[in-house]
Amino acid sequence: MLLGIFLLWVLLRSPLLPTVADSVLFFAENLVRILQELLNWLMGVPAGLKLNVPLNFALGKFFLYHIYLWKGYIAILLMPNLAPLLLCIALVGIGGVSFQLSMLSDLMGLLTFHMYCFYVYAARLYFLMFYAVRSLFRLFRGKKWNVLRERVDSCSYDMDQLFAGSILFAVLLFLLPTVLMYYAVFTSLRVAVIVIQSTLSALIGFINSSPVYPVILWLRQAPATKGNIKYTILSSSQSNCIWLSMELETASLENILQHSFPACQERAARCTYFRPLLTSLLQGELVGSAGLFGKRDN
Amino acid sequence: MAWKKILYERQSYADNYVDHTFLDELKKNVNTHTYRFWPTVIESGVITQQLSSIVLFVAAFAFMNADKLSLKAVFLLSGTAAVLGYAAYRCICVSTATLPAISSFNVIEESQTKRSVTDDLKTAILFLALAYGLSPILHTLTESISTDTIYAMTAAMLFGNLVLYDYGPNAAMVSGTVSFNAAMFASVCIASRLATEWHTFATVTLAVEMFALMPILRRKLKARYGWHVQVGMTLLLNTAAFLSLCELYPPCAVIFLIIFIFITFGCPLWLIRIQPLKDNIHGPWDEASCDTEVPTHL
Repeated sequence: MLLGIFLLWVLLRSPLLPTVADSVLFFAENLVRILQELLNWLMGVPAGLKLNVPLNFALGKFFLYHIYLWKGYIAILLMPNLAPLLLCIALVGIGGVSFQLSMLSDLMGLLTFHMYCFYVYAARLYFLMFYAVRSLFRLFRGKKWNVLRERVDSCSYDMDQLFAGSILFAVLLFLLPTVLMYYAVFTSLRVAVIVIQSTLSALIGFINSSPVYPVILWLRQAPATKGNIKYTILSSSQSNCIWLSMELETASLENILQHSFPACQERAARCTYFRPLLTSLLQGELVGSAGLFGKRDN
Repeated sequence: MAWKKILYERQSYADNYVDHTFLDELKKNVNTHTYRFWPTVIESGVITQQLSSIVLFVAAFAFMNADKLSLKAVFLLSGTAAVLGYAAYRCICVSTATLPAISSFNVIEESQTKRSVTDDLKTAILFLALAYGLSPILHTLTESISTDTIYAMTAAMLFGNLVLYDYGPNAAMVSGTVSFNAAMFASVCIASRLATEWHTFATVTLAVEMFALMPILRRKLKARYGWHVQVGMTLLLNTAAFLSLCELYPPCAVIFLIIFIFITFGCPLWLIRIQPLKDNIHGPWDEASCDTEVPTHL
């Protein structure tokens, strides 16, 4: 919280806010320009690979039109509202720097929304093609997926199913590399954005669970940090009962830290998520920011 | 105590003991079929017919590529052939149905699903519409792939068609589905190399006629009319293939002739020569097998 207020003061006092707004706008426009150049590169001969020309052209034009719409969106919706938005982010620092970081993460999500859209289009198209090619390859071999037994069984197809199936298989197989290229490019962009957002999220989690408050309490020997009970035997008088004095002792620092760390350990244990992620990427299933580092805890 | 071949009484011998009468039950070459020369030669026509239909298809492509065969001629030929062939097929079906139904072959035909003329017409329209709609895509499908790769793939697929074709035996390798699909894949590969979309459409339709419809007609004719028609078809197809190869590339025609003579005369001679060397042993130790197969028209 102190950090947040500090950042807020820094942002409000210095003439930093307009420059930050300008740099954010510059970042957004740069992003669009880079994406346009990327698409033009894909529509040509990307990395020396020769893709299917009509499909390449169609996909490239489709995405370029989307970028054209996005430019309009930035000009109309974002530009006038950018300075107040940044002011909001700075003001929210009252709640602590974690608030500002999360708003920064959301702002980043807003600015890269077009990349998210592209990723979803490309992923859906690739998923559909991959699924179709897999199923038609089974038809090519004369087999079928048995839903009841969940295995591949032989199947005697009719002549018209075979006609349509083998021609569609050839067409989709030859068109797959083009779609795969687009999918790979947009997925890597999206994964980069997800990595940045997840890093921010991890940072926020770390800040949230960092034991600043307990340590400060411990330093002040506040009543909340009392851990042990210490009994001292007072000089016993001749009476039958023993008089004890009870004192509450401050717990040791390692005790306090141990109590506040389980959340961090849990997060570290959940980072082994890569194999299912790789499989879903290869098959074209959508991956979200929740899938990269385990569920976001709030 | 003499050993009895039973297991329900305890004997002083081991359970798997056999005595000297064991090999009396050995029989040699019980189910061996003795081949005679001329019937085998006639039956080998099935293989050469399929080979020559493949050769005719490739020759048609080569002629279209070299502009020696006009598009109209291809359409006319394939159209008339399809109509005539279908009419012949229907006549044979009708005449088979009116024969005295003693032969088990008729029983098979009755039990299969009766396809009416409307069903066949629907399949034909479906196929023509699909091929016509997909021919622009098919035309530019393999533009970015080098010609050598295309030729290699086509050759491999057609070879697969030849090897896996359903010539009649109940072997595990036979797979009518895969051979037809391989032929269609090959036709899509090679059709995309031609000049216009109409050429592509013509090639794909021709491929369907030669690899799907003609085998059905050939089997029907052979079943109905016996060996005269079989010999006639073999000679007709092979002469057509030989002549087109002569026109195209004479050394290939010579190779084709050599292969034809080898398959038609050389292989039966070889088979009959090594038939006496056959040494199958049968006995009560064999696995039980059920004889549920319906005897074929041979």
